[in-house]
Amino acid sequence: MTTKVADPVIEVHDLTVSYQRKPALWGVDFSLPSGVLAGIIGPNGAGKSTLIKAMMGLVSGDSGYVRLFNRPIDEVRGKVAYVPQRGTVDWDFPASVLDVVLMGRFKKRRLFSRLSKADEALALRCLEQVGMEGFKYRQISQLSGGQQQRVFLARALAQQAEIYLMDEPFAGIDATTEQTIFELLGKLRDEGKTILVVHHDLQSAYQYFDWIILLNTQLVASGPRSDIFVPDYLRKTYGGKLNMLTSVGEMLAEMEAPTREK
Amino acid sequence: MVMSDAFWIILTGSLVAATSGLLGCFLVLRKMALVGDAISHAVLPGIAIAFLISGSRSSVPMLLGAAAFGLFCTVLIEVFSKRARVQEDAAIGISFTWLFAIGVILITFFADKVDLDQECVLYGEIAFVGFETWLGIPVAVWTLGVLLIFILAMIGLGYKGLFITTFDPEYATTLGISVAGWHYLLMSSVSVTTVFTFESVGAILVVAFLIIPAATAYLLTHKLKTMLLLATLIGITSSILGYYLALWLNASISGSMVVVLGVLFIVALAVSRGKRMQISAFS
Repeated sequence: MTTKVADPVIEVHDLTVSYQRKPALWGVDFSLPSGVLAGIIGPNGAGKSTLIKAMMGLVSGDSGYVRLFNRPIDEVRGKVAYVPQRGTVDWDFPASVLDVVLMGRFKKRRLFSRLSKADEALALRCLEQVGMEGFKYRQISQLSGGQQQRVFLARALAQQAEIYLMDEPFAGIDATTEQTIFELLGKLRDEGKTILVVHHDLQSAYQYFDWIILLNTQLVASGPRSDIFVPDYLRKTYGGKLNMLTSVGEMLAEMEAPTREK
Repeated sequence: MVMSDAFWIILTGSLVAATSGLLGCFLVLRKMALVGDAISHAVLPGIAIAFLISGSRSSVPMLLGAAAFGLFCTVLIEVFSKRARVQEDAAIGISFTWLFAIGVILITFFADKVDLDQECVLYGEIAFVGFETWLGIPVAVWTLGVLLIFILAMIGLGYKGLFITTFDPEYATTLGISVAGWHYLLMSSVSVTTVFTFESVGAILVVAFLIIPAATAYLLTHKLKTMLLLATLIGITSSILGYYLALWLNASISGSMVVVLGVLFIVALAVSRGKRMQISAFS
């Protein structure tokens, strides 16, 4: 089931991506309205990261297209921020927290000019938003996993984008940090930004996201949370993954017999 | 004003070490130390062909020939590892040894026609730097000086581009920055530097100047700018100490400089380990 959006800010049409002839994504088709906090949910190897990489133009598709603000990504890069998985960089790199956040102010055309005082002030405000202002001169090699994640988030915030695409920003971080970040993402959503997050935990997904995309190589369902969190779709997404079935089963049981609503 | 040979030799060594050290920082951080090695060897056929065509040791054809082969080598590595799916280290090993071998054959083959011998190409000879002068200053000092200015300008102007494409190339791509463009800019700089320096230190030892100062500086700091500065200073120190070591041992000067580099690296390793143990003892 896919909820069609009248005036989509993100549109993915018939997207197929393959790695060495094995499809990672197959005919994925969905659209997103602006001002939602959306989660891409699915089992390991479902193609979640591939989907947002294809949306950022980091991997190319075999068929289909992606439109952001009704345009190809290369025309709107200034309005789209990407948060990669934190494992993709070398954290022993000789750089400080502020150095990394300031990268959010780098632009293709401004690469040869100096960053301004305003850029630095903005970077510091972004660090404040993620609660890392006390770490601005800290070497990045001395950060914990959760702190690394928040630095990446601050870097994306410094881009002052309209769309945020995030790859597993909650992997390996503690519950408190997770909540802080989700609150921040909620605030961004309330400002009218569109946020799409690759996420693996069903429990917190239901709690925080207002739009859900269920993915398992093919799109299973996409729509407002309440339409998507039904046993049928979840079974379809996680079916076949035995270890997931128990936890999904438990969760479905909980959902089918809710004791109280939050 | 007449400067002693010692002064010019040390200055030439310092210029080689500083230029290679600066570029080496980016190679080490990109985990491409071996690509530097590969380029420094792969330029050999380019140099030989340039000699053959121009029949002279003038720098311009040599530079073009070598830069072309240096780049060709990095393209070969990319093609072998990405397209043909050979492991990257194997792709590096195949590309540069093959090009180097072609260069060796070309040089032996045409050795009687051009003033270029294998020994010199492989090991370099910094001791003769004072033989060829212009306005009283050795030609090598002129060319290496100009090269250092160019490399400094490239790193100064392109600092942000080199920094972001080294630290997080994927993210740089999402900002619309050309990762491949910066990659090839760095690779051509390494190629050109190798050509300018091979006469002084040879095709084999130039790798040491590319990698060891940078790797040593990496152990001592957590700031990229400090790392660049330290690599330069370490290079200059090794050039001074290496000269006197060679004098004392009556041995190859460039070889001695690299031996000093190795010793400095081990000292830095000890210092950085000691620091880490201190930190863990106090925390």
